[in-house]
Amino acid sequence: MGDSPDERFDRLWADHAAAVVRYARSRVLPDDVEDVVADTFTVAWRRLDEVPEFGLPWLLGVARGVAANARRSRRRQGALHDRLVSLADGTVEDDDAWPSLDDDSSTLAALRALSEADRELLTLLAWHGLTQDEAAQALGCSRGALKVRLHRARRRFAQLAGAARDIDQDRTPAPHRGGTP
Amino acid sequence: MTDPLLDRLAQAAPADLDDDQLAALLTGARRRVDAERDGGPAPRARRLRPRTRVALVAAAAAVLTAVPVVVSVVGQDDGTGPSGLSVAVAQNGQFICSNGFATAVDPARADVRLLPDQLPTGWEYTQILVRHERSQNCDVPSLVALQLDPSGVVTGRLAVTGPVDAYINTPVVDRDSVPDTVFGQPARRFDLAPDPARSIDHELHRWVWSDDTGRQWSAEVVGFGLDEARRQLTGVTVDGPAVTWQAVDPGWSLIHLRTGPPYDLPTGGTSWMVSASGGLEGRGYDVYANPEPHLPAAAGAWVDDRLIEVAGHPAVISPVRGSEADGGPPGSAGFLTLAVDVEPGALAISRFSPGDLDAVEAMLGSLRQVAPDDPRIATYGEK
Repeated sequence: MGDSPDERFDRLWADHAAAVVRYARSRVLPDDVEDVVADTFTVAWRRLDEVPEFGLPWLLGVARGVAANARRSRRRQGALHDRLVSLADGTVEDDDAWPSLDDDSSTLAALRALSEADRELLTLLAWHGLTQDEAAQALGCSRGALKVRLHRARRRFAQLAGAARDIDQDRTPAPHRGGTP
Repeated sequence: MTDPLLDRLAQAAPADLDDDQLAALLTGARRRVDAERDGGPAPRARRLRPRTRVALVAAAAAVLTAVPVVVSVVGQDDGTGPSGLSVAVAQNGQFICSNGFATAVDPARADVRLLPDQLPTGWEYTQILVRHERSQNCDVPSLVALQLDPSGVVTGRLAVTGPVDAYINTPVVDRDSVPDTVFGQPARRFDLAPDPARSIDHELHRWVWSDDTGRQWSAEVVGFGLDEARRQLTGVTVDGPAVTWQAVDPGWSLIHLRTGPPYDLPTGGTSWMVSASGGLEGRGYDVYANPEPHLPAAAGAWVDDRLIEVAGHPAVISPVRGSEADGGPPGSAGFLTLAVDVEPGALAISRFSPGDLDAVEAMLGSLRQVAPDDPRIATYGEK
């Protein structure tokens, strides 16, 4: 017998709410974190049947959309003090939502300089502990697409961080390198 | 196996909240989720507080952006979205930017450098921030008409946007809309009823359809029931890419009508953001400078906003929102939002306490282009 919906939801909350908080904090203003968490789990409750057994990638996929909408809403509201900044390939990003940079933090500086899409992918893996398959689920893309994106994100990050040697550690399959087929 | 690059990134991860902070945040979030699960009145959401619930002047549909646009976003922002389209149809039928790009601009080098003769009493400059945003203005309408009462208060709104190349997440759109027909085309209709819990203030009906060329359109009527909305829409004619409008009833005013070819969206734009302190968090104003098409502030007016003039400039002022009576915290007087057409293509917006109205009108009415070496830019500009 499976759990009742209430039990299943409670387990989902107990297992993953803190992780969703962590993700939300990396994506939106501090004031919006509670909104994102609440809206994400509200969606999860409404669509509990769709939540996979290991629900974190699914939850982060929803949280991702909720966060994007929160940022859009803030920008559209014209709230200047929100200091919204949109970054490459993304929707709207907030400087304040990112950890402050230490003077010598080339890692964070490079991360910040990446496109939104690259940064999100890398942080899903490095900060939020998803596997590549789970990250693909959270991002709503195929495993193959994720591998290609990851390869490119790693390369761009390494270039920005001055960490060329890290490219050598890249174990993802190299995509077609261009040129005439 | 370890991955040096991911390990390096992991070491740079932000610190977690401490236990008390996390517990407080989770308690608040869970209370709201449980209220939703129980079907009871939801505890006051943050977005209903005056600090985050803004009277929405510049972006008419912004009230509706409070509607969770969840699934429609998933799969669009991941860099592998369909066809690289930069405009998408959200869960509420609204056109939204699905991709974006912004760059910081040195305020001294910005084309827009609008500062007032003086700030309201008690306000002090804290920051001047400028961004050029390529993702702005995905939803520039081709037609906006407003129904106004004799005092200039908006009582109805009609807008048509399109044609644009927009991505439609069909399963989501189909789930949240109903089939309909508009302008002779099969369409999806989104019906939103007033819902304080979702910051939806007025009844809205929005149709989204694809024309014969495969491009997308949106038409919305705000402030009317469905039958009346349909009737108002009969004044609109869509012929190929062209839109024309003839008021069905008296009391309507044409605010904006595209007469040329379809707009190339998003148009992008520059945001000149001046922050001020002085006791009330979030004081200041924004100036949004956009390339053509130059829509007036009134094009973003919502039902209950009022069209006014400020120092000879067309302007829109919202009703008070976010007061205690409007769901704000006890004792809150709420906020007003004022949008002023500083010049064609440059819209200044401020949100403030009702008691600051005269001073804010004076501030926005006195905005003028200052020299790049203005000491305020040197002192407060964020490069």
